[in-house]
Amino acid sequence: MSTAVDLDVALLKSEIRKTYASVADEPDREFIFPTGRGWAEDLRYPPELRDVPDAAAESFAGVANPWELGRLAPGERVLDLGSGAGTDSLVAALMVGESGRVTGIDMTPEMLVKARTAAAELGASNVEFVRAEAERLPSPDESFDVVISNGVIDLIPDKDAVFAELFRVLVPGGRMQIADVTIQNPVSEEGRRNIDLWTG
Amino acid sequence: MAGALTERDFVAKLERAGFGAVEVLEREPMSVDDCALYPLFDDELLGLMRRLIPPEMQAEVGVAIVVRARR
Repeated sequence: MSTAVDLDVALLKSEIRKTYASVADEPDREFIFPTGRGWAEDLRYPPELRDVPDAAAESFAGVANPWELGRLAPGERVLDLGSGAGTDSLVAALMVGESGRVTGIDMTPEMLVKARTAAAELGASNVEFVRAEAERLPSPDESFDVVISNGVIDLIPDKDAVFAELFRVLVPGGRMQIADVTIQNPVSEEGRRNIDLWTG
Repeated sequence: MAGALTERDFVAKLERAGFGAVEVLEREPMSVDDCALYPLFDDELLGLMRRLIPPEMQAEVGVAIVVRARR
């Protein structure tokens, strides 16, 4: 993978996986972290949140509310990039209904287990959770109408590869509605080489 | 956060990938204290941020944004 600086991408991804595995396995641990259903409610998530099982909502870790951009339509095909424990995917599954389809992509096995458990509890048959990395999506060209994501892209070293993949898998006219973190000033190259600064 | 882009770079990269109608529709400033709420910011990192970032800039080290774009 190409990045602008000399960065141990494998180590970075390993550190991110470890942290989010902890969020998945220990939702009650004091992360001092605005995870969970209460945080999603504070962000004014849509009413479908009420039906999302605790197994997913307790590990919600978004940074903002991409649903403020609008709801999904019944029948739409949705990709959730970095689906985590599945809260946004399940909200999407409820919005698009039986005629729609949601694919959640995540690289943390512990999160995938939680998401699948929550989907089963909800009885959602129109959603699947797949282990994959954002730079290499396991989906055909032009296979989604909408991409959603919340607090994921800033963690990925090769943004150009991610955006190229999202463009590839969206249909012409398709849209992305995402939440993420930006910074006020570019980080120095020395900072970008520091794994701790990346994972934060 | 070292991996985060400035908003301008974020939008530019989206456009370079081919996306159009890119709109940033919400901006919520994040201070160092806000960062402390997230699991990837451990005590060591927060200490580093508090030491290295000028105090007057610590109130807005990042911005949570909501973005829409079309292929």
